[in-house]
Amino acid sequence: MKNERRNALTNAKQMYKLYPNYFSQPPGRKSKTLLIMKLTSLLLTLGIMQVSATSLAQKITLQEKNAPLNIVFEDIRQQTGYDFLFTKTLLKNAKPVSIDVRNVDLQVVLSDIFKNQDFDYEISDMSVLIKKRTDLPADSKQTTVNLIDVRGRVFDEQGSPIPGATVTVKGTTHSINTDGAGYFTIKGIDDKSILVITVIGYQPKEMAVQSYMGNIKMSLSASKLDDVQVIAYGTATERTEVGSIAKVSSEEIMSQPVLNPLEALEGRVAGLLVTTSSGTPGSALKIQIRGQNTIGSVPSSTIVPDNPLFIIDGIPFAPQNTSINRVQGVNDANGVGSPGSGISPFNSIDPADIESIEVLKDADATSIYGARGANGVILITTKSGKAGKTKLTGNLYTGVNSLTRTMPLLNTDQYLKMREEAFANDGIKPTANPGNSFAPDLKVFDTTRNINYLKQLYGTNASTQNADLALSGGDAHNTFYFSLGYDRQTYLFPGDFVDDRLNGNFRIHHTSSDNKFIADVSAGYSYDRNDVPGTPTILSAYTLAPDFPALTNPDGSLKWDYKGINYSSYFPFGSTNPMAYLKRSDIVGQYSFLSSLLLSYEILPGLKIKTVLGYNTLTANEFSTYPASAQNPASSPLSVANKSINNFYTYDAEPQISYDKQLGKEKFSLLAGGTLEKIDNNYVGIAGSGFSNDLLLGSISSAKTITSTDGNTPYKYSAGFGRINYTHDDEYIVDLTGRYDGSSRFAPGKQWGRFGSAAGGWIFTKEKSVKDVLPFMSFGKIKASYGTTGNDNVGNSLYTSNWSALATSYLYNGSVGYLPKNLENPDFSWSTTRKIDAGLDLGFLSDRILLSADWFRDRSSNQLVQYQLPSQTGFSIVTQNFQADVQNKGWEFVLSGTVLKQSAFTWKTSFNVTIPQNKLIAFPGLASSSYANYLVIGQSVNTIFGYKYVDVNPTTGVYEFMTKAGTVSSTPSAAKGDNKFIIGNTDPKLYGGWRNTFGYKGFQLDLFFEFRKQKGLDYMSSFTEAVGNEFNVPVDALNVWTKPGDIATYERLTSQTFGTAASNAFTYYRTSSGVFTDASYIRLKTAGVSYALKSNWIQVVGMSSCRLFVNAQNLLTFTKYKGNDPETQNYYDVPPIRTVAAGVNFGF
Amino acid sequence: MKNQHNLRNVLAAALIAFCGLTLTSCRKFIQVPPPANSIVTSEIFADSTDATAAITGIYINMMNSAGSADIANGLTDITSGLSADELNITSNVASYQEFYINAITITNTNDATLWNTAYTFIYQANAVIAGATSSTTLSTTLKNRLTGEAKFIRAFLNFYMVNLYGPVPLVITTDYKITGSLPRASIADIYTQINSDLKDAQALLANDPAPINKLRVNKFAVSAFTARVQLYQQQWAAAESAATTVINASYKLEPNLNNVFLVGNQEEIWQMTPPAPGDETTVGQLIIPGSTTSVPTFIVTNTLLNFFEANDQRKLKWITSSIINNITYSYPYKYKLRRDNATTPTEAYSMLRLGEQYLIRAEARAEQNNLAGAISDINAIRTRAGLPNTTAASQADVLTAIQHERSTELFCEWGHRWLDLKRTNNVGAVLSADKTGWKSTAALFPVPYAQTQLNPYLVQNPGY
Repeated sequence: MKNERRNALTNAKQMYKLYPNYFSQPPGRKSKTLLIMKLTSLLLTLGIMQVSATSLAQKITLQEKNAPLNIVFEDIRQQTGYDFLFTKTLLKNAKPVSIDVRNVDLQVVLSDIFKNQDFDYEISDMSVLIKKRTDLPADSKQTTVNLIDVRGRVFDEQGSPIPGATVTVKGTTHSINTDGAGYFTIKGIDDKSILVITVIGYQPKEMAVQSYMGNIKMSLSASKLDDVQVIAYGTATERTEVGSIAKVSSEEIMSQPVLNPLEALEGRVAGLLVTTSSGTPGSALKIQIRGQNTIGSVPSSTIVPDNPLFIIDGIPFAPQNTSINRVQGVNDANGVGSPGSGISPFNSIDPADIESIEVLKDADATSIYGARGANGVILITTKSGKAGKTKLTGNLYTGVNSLTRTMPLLNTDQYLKMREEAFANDGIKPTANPGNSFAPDLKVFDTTRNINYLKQLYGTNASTQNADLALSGGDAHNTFYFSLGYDRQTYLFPGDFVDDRLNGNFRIHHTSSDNKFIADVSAGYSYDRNDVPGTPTILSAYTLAPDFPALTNPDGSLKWDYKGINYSSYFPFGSTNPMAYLKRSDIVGQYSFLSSLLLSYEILPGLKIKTVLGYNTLTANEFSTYPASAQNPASSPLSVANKSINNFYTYDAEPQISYDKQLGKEKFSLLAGGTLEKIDNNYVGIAGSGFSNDLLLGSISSAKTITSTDGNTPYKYSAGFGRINYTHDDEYIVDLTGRYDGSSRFAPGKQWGRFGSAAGGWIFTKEKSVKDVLPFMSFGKIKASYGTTGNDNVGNSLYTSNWSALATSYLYNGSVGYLPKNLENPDFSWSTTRKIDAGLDLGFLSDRILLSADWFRDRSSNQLVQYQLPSQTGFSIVTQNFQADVQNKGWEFVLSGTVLKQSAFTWKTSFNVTIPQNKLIAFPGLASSSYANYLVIGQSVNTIFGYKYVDVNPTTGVYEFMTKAGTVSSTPSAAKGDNKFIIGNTDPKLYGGWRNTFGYKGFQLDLFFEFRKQKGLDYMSSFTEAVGNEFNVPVDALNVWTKPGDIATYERLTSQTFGTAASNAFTYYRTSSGVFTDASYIRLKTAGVSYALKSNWIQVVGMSSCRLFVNAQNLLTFTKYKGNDPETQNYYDVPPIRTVAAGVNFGF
Repeated sequence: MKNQHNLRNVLAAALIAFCGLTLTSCRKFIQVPPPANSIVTSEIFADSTDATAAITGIYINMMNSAGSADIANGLTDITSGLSADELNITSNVASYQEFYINAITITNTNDATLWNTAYTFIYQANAVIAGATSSTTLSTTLKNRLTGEAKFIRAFLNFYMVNLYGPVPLVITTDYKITGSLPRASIADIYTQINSDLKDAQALLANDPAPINKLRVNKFAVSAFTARVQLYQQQWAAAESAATTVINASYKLEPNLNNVFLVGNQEEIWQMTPPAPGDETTVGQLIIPGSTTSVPTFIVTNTLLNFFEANDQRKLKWITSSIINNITYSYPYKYKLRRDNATTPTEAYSMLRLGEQYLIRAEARAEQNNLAGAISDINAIRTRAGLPNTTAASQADVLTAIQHERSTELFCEWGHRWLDLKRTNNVGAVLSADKTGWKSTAALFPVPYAQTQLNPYLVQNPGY
């Protein structure tokens, strides 16, 4: 290739325009673009890394040694598209060029190249004209050095000065930082030197020196690799980071009409699995980074997801991801405090105030959090002000919420037919009298009535409103940010249930005039009031027979009798009038205060002492009522009201000392610090019962009986930590961290643990030999880390046996009683997770396409669990360390890039996928432990055991299962789990997201798909009784066996809850492989269209920007899942709701 | 400018000092007091009030709150009544229905509740025994009282466990490392432990004054229960002697049948009251229908109705009925109150009462061929029920008359009927005639499935 070019050049004519022979220029540009587009698409879809094409970037990367000038020109031309115009004779005297620059402005490169040449150049339009030097120095070979003083000032794109920018004299170790106002002065340097100015997140700038450099404007790095990332105790860029960290930007969060910032993370980050528990407003979310590290405390039930550590502006968030309500509400689908249900404390945080959310995954990124980093860390950073013009920005939208995918239910005709067939199958004549043959739906109710109770309960469209305003600005030394937000979301249930939030945030940043002292103060307050219907039982209410009589009287009061019989006899399985649930309420007020103070002082250049102090608190005030009017008069109604206050606090102090030093190409960064932290959760609850009138429910003191509960769980934690970061020439990176941790959750002597990590990275594209072989690759880094993190995630004071007093109102004949609370075990201590991560980060076409691949393997041992015990021990659990090793390994791929970028049309895409695998790798003594029948070595900890479903016996019409003996039976004996097989697990096999944003002029289209490949339990697993009993079912459930010879999906109907062959077989079926089904899905999670109004229009009203948008969340779901929603899976839960919102985003 | 420098120096110095201080005080920092709402075991048994509260906690836990039945709070009455020929159920709740058809599935929730609650209370009793025994500060009197009560409660629960489930794990310590993997003990060993616990309780509570309080275990409760345990072991003389101790104490049969189950009734030897304010007994709450239009959930069987002789006052006072849609539903009416929100409960759950003692002594005497003594005890009960004296004369007839009298006097109470059928080896004969599908293995309830999963040494009962 080079030879060919050389020949072409030698044979050139007098006047040279370097392109015609083998490049077709202006017309060719289009086809090149097309080529790039095609290639990019190919890359994105197939992940193939082979590509050879040129780019139009204005940044140049050159590594040449004694190369002929024309070859250098050709290289530059390929990279920039600039043509070089020169005469052959002129170049005769050209000197060979040696140059080594990366990502440097064309101008800088040219000045470098022409430094020692006898001719000059001139840039015009897209070409460089080479001409004779008019003012040649008297002696071009002169080597005298002129020393000068250089002064200048560094600004960002908006014209705000940048303090702390590094100004280095190229090729020397001489460097200095800009002061608080962006000024720098370097004394006594060669007047031919080049200055290199670097700032994190900006493109490095090289400039030839002159005594006054003027205002130097830095431009933001075009490469995502240079985006600022928040890491533990600092910031970094992806380019030189060796830990595994993912960032979700404010832009991405704000593209979604959601009120809880955690919701905005779903599908956005490789390795982060976010699962919505319910579509009711304010519901908690399950969050897990890189899989389940611990074994379930109750092996037979759902394993509690390992929550990552949540840190907001450097301070651990007091409630973390626990549900904050104490009295049962509709969000507690699995009971109060059950994992992933209840009300999320993250509702107190307005997504609009978030600058970025970083997800720290591997040992290098998390080890410095020591004990609490085992399950990964999520750092939330709030917005801060920027120096410059004072700006007012706002975001307003309003939207409609509706129910997503549900299974259609039987109408009365279908339902009655089903019931009749069920009775006929059992040979029982339905009667109007309570007992086994009681069939009120057939014999008592008005069978012409047809009500869809699902629609009646969830059919209402709900609404979402949001308004956010922020004011920010400041100068070089002081910046501020102040924001206010209001959100409101109503429920799908009939009634006035609503979740509103009001919040305000401020942040002030101060830098002293000498740039040595920094103070950063932030505080945020929010109030969220969630008015929830009182009980999740409402969710199963739509199993009512569609001909069930009216639930309310014409005056709105509840109806309890029909044809002389109380409803309690008609409601199957202990349910009650669903309208009664809506008369109960549970109002949860969330008051959250977040504050942090950072003080930093630079004692000597590079040596800083710093303290982060933080306090945050979240108080949940709950008021729930259960009025007598909402109760069946036959059940001795007793009006009850509950009030509770649940407080969470974090007090955090983290003194640190850091030292940064650059010696030529070597850069050191040292950090040492300590943590003192107190986390408290205390609550007080009072309950009143026996009010004389429901109107008095608001005043507990008017109750006849008042009881109270309280509790507190003091938790303290302290640690010392350190980090050493070493970088050689931005090419080799080494990172070492360590932490020594103490937790009050362990018995004295067991409290302290040591954790640490080592990581390294090599940016191999810095090597010329690599560059030569892979010219299309603009960036390449391999990295690896290994380390340990810990976990003290157990309750407080569990190492000793505690007794608690029963409430004083709960007296036995006037005497107070104590109850033992837990079994004693002083032996448990830290559990540890060893994490290995290896990653490859690649950039192509000047970082226009970025690919990163990570392989990880986390092994958790010395598991800290609530070991399940047989009840003969008096308790069902004891806190123990558990000698079981759980391994999570997997692959994460992220591919992002700009597929197309033309002046009018842009297409950006970003795709991430995670392929996780969870496995129990060791468990000494498994066979004799209580986990013997729930865990298997070599299988996931979420393994489900069940009966092996065979078919519906065509002759008997009843489900059949395989036994261990190889026979087929409809009632495989359950004793000892003998006939249970591993039927699979519910771990996702693959999950991820794909975002595409298309821009055309002012329009932008944003499509985000979330996908998950997984198995799950279908709707049949939610039924406690066999189909055919007195409850409504989805139409799908009618694919039943009706006569001998039928090959049917489901067994014959039965009218009985027990005792018939079909009802017996059903008890096995609901825990068999028959209900284990594909729950994979692809969801169009977010779809948004926006239009930015032209600036000349909006300037009239003084606006600087204005964007109109329509965003939709959960718009479409593609799935084959047999149930309501493949994500929440619970048949009786509200599936994730669909929101379509329209609004405006503006700035003044 | 100078001031600013000074300020900065001060701040810097403060920062350095703060960092230094905090780093050195890390170790001390993480010591926290125990949560304010709990007391550690060693503290409990250092103080008489706390130690007493520990045993009161057992009573409170046993009585639970209304509506949630456990082994010591009505669930035994109902599940055993359904399993025998006393009770039927009108609703289709499988967890009860399975008892009625004697085909309990191993995942039955009521079966699990019986098993689990028994061991919860046994743990509490063991904790009190261990705590009181090792205490150095409690008075001997109090130690005796607490240990006596706890041993009695342990014996009481073990008796029910062995009779409902057959050989069960015998738990006499709180150490989960020992108890977690205990297999079943033999029935003989369980009875040995029951006998020894009762003997200890008798001795430990012997110096108590006469029953000051029927709501706590006292020496007469120990005697009354010893009488029953001896009867089950066919130790007739011992049974008679223990029953006589109780009958000769100050208890009297209550002439008005409507008052027998009231708090503090003269017939009651040991009663328990619900601790939740406003509650009456759980059995009352479960059985009494809420309104005149509510179909009673638990109804008495025709078999039971037919046991009563004409004019038996017990049929009139202890059974009542609702008529709904022209159908009569009769249900037990020993306890007459549902939750009534009264400040203090009117009725109490009867744990041991004098009526049973007469019938124990009658049976023990009859077995020892003291027929006259037996007949006089039977007649004491019959007279109170408004019935003429028994006509039984031969030993066999007297024994039959005693069983008959037990079925009408003690129906739907504490599983007497179910256990009587089993101990007299009549359960198969009686129930296979009364119900379809009876299997001899149904005489024992199944060990809850979850427990066999959690303790690999725990073997399921045959037939499940």
